[in-house]
Amino acid sequence: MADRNPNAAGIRRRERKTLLVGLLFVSPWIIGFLIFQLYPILSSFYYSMTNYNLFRSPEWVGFDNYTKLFHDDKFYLSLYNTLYMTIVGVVPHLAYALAMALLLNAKVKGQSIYRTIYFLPTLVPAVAGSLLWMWILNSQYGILNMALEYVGIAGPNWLVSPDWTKPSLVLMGFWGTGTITVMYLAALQDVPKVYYEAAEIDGASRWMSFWKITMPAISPMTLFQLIMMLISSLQYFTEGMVFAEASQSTGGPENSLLFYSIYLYQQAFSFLNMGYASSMAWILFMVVMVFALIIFKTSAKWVYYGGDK
Amino acid sequence: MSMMRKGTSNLLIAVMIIALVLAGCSSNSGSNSGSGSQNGGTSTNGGATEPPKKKVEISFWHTYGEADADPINKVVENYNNSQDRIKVNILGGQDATKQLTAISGGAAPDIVLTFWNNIGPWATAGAVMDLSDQIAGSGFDINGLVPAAAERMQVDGKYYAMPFTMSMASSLMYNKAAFQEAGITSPPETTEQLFEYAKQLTKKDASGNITNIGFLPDYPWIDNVFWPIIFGGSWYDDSTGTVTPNAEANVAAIAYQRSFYEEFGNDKIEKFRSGMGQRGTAQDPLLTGQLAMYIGWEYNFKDERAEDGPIGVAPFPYPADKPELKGSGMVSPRAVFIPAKAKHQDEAWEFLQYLMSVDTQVEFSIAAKVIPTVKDALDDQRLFAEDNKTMWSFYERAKSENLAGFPNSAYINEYLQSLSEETEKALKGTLSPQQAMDNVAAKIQPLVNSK
Amino acid sequence: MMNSGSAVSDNLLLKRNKQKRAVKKAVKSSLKHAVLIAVGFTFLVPFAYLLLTSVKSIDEIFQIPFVWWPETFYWENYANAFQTIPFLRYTLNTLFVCLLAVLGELISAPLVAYGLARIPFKGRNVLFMIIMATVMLPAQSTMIPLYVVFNKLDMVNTYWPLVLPAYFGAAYYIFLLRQFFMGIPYEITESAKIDGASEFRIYWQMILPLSKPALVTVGLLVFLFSWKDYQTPLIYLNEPAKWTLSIGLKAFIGEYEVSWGMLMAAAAMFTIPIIILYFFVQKVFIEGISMTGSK
Repeated sequence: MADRNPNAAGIRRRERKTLLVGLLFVSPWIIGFLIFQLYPILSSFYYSMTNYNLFRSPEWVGFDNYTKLFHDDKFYLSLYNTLYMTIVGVVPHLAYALAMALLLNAKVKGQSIYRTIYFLPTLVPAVAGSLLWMWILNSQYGILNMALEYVGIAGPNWLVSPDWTKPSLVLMGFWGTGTITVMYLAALQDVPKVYYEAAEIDGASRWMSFWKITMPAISPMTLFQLIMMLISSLQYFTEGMVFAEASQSTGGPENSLLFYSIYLYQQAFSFLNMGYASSMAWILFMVVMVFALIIFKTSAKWVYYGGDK
Repeated sequence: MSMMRKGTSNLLIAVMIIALVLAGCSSNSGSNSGSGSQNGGTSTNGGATEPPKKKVEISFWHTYGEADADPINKVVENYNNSQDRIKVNILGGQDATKQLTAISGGAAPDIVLTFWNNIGPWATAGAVMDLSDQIAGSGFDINGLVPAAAERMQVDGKYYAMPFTMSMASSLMYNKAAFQEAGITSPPETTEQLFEYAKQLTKKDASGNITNIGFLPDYPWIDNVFWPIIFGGSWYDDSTGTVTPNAEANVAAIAYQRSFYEEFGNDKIEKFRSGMGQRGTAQDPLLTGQLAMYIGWEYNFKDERAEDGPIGVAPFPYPADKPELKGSGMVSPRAVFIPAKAKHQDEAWEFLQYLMSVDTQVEFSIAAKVIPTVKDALDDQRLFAEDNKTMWSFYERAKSENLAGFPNSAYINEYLQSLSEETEKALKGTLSPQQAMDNVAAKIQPLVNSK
Repeated sequence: MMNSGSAVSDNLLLKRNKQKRAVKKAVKSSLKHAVLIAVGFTFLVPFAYLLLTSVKSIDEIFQIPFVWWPETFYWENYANAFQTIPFLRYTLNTLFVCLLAVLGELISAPLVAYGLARIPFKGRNVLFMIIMATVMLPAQSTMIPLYVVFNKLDMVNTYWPLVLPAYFGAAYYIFLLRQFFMGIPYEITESAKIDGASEFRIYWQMILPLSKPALVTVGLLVFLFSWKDYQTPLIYLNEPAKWTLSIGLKAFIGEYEVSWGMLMAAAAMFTIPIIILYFFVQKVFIEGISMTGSK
């Protein structure tokens, strides 16, 4: 209101105040980070430049681990296996979870029951669930192949054939998408019904209102799911381990189940190459970071926050 | 509407609070006393009057789960009741990850039972106490142990652990009915006979698919330790400091296994495998006759292998040209070690000696149906009770001098992993046995040189 | 236009259209039902498999040819499972940990998320990326140094490592809530700000109440994750009396064989509390507040 100079100082003061308030809100995380995460993260980075067997003092080797990594066949193999799960799994699982959420969002009788049914599988702990599925996927007396036989298809050797082990895991993944559906349900609740009504009046088809209203409205959730599923699929571990252990080898048939985190774990805890394993961890970190940044950067184009309309 | 919602959420909150209080009250007694770490804690905290001799509490971690832990719990109970100076606190279900994390993270227990192949890497890394002094100081008779078991506890010639119990694969188990049907009157004695009998015992259906198979060398897993031992192979040459997975005998062992795959066909075997019944249940392939012969460990078919039972037991065959290898087999012990940073090493050693005493060995073996590692225990009369009959032949076979195992070393896990992978390729025919084993040598030798 | 004749026919037309629409609606609804049932079936089948296995004897479980419905209901699996491990104790322990974790996250995560979503401070985006970055490093590489931290704090063999970090906010839930908060229109809070309300007041009195579905979701997810967590309790708890249910389940997976019947029975008992919780909780989604829609 007055001339510019006092305003500039006022703006700076306000900015500082906003900064302080903002930081105050974020302070729990910052404190938690300083106590629980800073030391482990720095240690891990330090270890990646050393040879460390977990018991004797680490000895410095600089970038040796990283160079060795790039010459390691299993590094590439495990990366491939992991990327397979990410590329083949993430989008289908996400689409499926969204489809389920849309179905469950509709006013249908017995909604509560259906929602509970879809959520049930996520309650089963990973190990028990994986064991259960190994049973289901047994090519001779598992019910999946039995069902396929019923319709005249000869089911593949899901757990033994190296070509089918990863698809088995992707298949099992669909079963556990309940939590994603739950989150989408919550997001769908927030889509203002006015928009749908307005669209209907304007004569828009259900398909159109889905793409023009629903998708943008839940895009913040989609962004979240994409990022988190990306991270978790690149760190895929437990289910892969259970499946592989059954074939009595760490990597499964022809190492088809040697996922990055599993190889990392093997290096760290079986071979006692914690330094090497740490360098693996940081390479993965960078891979994830790159993917995530790409998704975030492009998100400006397709994510709509309700704040701006 | 909103009233109901309020009602439900109020109810939920009430339930949560009640549960919290309940749980908190009952767990409080346990959780809050844990402020000082439980591991290797000294005697009771708080104002208890000190007894004249301070009772030392030591922590003992083992890998058995709750279902299998009764025998070891009994051992500890007996020990605690038998003397006043040391109290052993036992904790089960502690897998290797947990053990490693705790030891490395600075909270090591006093004495640990784990799988023998961990000793190599952990000892070389400095986590495990070298027992040489203790053995010398207490006059422990290391030669009183089954050599194959004791050897697994050595790294670079020093003993880092004691073999508490051992598992042994040195027998051939077979389905008696299948033998009768095929007209076979006695189990095969040589590996060549084993191959011939396997062919005789294999049945196929009209389309050429296998319905019953005589023998599978890699069922239930590829055993890269067992087979080379049977053929007299070894993995390390002390004099030259080289790894020898590609020595003649080792390669012969792989070639022998491959011969089964060549005979029956990769695809046919894979198809058959997927249809095998679940191991360890009534549909176990050996019980149903799907499989006629099987590499036998002492824990297989404990009841069914009785004299009048459906399963027969015989020593595992040896190569016809090497009769001196009769009675060969592999030994896989459980190791008990003391972490280098354990707080109560002397007490731990006392308890360890107790674990290796004849009485404990005998009692534990009877309860858990395993094989003792102390030679004197193998002859103990108590083991030869009537209801333990199915174990007798195993006690005898445990005395064989041809029992051996895989050498323990810093790189043992990489070595085993590499053997597994290359053997898989050799069995599938992607590589010749010689090539596969050369690959292993090429991969592992650098590790030997560096570690 | 408005003579009685066409009025009647107009009415008839209206009625027929109404009927058509009613039929269309019925068809759509039954189609929805059909899909829901079909998919629900495939989802339920493995779970049904679990339940049915839990009441079969070991021989029936592996019978070839496969048998769906057990001949005799072998309820002993449940009794045996209950006795093999101290079920009640483990359940209480697990409940204790879960509820504390839920409380912690619900206190901290929304606070941090609000700061990241609604307070335009300098460096906000960088901070957000840093927070996200911390979850991108595989846990195996930080496991042991983290253990060292807790050991130095004398928290090994206590519940602190399982519960305390929740009070500082986990990146996962922070991210989730941030997305929700960013979806709340600014008009709502602008007026309050102009009136001079503090950020905290806006947070507490406006944003939080509007975010019930999101908060309930977070609570549910935290509870679920904590309930199922196996690794952390195993690493930090050195006394069986303190163990949680997930460690208890491991007891049925033995050295040489899995006690399938008891494992499935235990798994079934493992999931029942959460099913109940979820059934109650998901009503909130139905009645969730829709932001501008209800205004």
